Amino acid sequence: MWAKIMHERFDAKKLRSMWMRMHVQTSGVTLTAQQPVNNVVRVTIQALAAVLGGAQSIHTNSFDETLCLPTEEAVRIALRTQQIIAYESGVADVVDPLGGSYYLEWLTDEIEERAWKYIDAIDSMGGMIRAIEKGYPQREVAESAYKYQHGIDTGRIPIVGVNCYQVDESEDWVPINPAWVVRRQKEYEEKQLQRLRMVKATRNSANVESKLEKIRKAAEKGENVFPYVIDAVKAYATLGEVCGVLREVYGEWREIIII
Amino acid sequence: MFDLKFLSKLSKEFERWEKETLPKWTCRLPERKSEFVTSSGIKVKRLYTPLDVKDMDYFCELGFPGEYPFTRGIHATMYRARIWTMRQFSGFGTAEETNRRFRYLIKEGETGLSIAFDYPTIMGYDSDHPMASGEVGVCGVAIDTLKDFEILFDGIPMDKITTSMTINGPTIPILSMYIAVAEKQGVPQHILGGTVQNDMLKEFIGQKLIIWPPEPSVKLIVDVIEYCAKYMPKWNPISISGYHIREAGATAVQELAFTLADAIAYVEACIERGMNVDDFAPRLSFFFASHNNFFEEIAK
Repeated sequence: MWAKIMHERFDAKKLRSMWMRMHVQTSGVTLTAQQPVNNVVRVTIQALAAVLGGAQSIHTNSFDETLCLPTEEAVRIALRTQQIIAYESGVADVVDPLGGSYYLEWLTDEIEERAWKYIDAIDSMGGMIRAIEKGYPQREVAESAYKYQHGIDTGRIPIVGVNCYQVDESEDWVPINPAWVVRRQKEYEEKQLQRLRMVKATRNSANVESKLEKIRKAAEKGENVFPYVIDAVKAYATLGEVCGVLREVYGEWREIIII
Repeated sequence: MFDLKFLSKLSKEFERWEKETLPKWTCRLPERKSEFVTSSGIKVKRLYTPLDVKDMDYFCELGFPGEYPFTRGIHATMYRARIWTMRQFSGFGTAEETNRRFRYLIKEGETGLSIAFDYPTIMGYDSDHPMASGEVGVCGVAIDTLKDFEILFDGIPMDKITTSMTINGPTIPILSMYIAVAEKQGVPQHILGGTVQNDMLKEFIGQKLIIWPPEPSVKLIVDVIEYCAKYMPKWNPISISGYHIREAGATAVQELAFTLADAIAYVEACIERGMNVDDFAPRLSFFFASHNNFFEEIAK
């Protein structure tokens, strides 16, 4: 679809302009806090789908992500999952092994047809920026999210370990103590604040001010602000200072409430 | 794809199978459900045959890998030549902890870095901002100044590894820090490889981590695409993302359609800026989710 859009709609000439280079991440919302080791299996299936779909880059989730920041062990298993698919399974040995599958080609056409309908609808609203301002895609997504959750709640969509094949919670394996996570967070925050104070105390503040002023001027004139921001961060301007200037120029966004 | 004689024979044979063989099975053992659907609500039949793809033109719709329309892959040899990049999203605590995790992942065979930033960084606030309290270093690494980036990339050769950064609103200051720290390592910006997410439209639809209104957000995105097209030929200035739209509850079809519609909006904005489509389009990249409905994910 992307190749068609670039070729037909935008008249791109270079083949590279038509390449959809994609990174794929396995889904976070499909992971369960219940029986978390089952997530290793979910991630494997999802990563395999990404490979068979032709991804250029893949992130596999760690099985403990619903409980805490991934531990080293869980991260390693996630990485090993990709390595096993890549080097043991043989799926990487043939180009597009599923091409020509009757089901898959039919399903691809079906998805494509439905996606074009959405794109046409957005085009008729004047493009995506206008559609967002009207709340159109937000509303569509909210409706699907409701249906999905309703499906899980009613058992129509089975989630192993959540609405079927449950085990007693007390048998569930919990790898990390939440109190420990909170304590570590406080340590990180203290360390980070100390470093920020130190940087602010040792940098040339007048220089930072003048660099920030240049960003403001460029933003007000509608120029490309990038080169001015590079100058400012080299002088150790903070992220918040740079964004603060741009907030003052551009204003802040207020969310449209979708009901 | 198939000749008419074959299709008419198949069609007759299919009818015969449905009349003779199928009822024997369905009587003895009824199917588990009256209707099977994908996660996007597409009704799936019991069996697919060449009859379902009889209108498909092999050359127009599938073709060969490495050739238009790239349905069979964007490269001619795909993974036979090079396995995909194994790029694990990571970041937590301060730059020291994340630097240690990066080194660990590289040692274990990861082939690309991917940085997760904490909420204050994503929202463009410093760690000492009142909104940041309790969130510093929680969902990613905390970044305030170039100093943090110097520690983050300590001992990591930036000319050899590519880095993906999940940053949207504050893309410009974050990428500026990346460029500045690479310069300190003696690596000029034109050889840096990697990706910034830099896709605000999907934030409005899905994730909701928003700083500026849509118009200036897109203006800043185009600033990055324009800058990279001029000075950073190996950098992907945007990763147009369906992932967050999907995670917010969209179907696979909506994920695909809204992501492509976002992409169209960015291409139009760049052309409006006066750029030539072939000067920036080769560096546009995408980011999708992979859920449980196996074949639907592959087809998408």
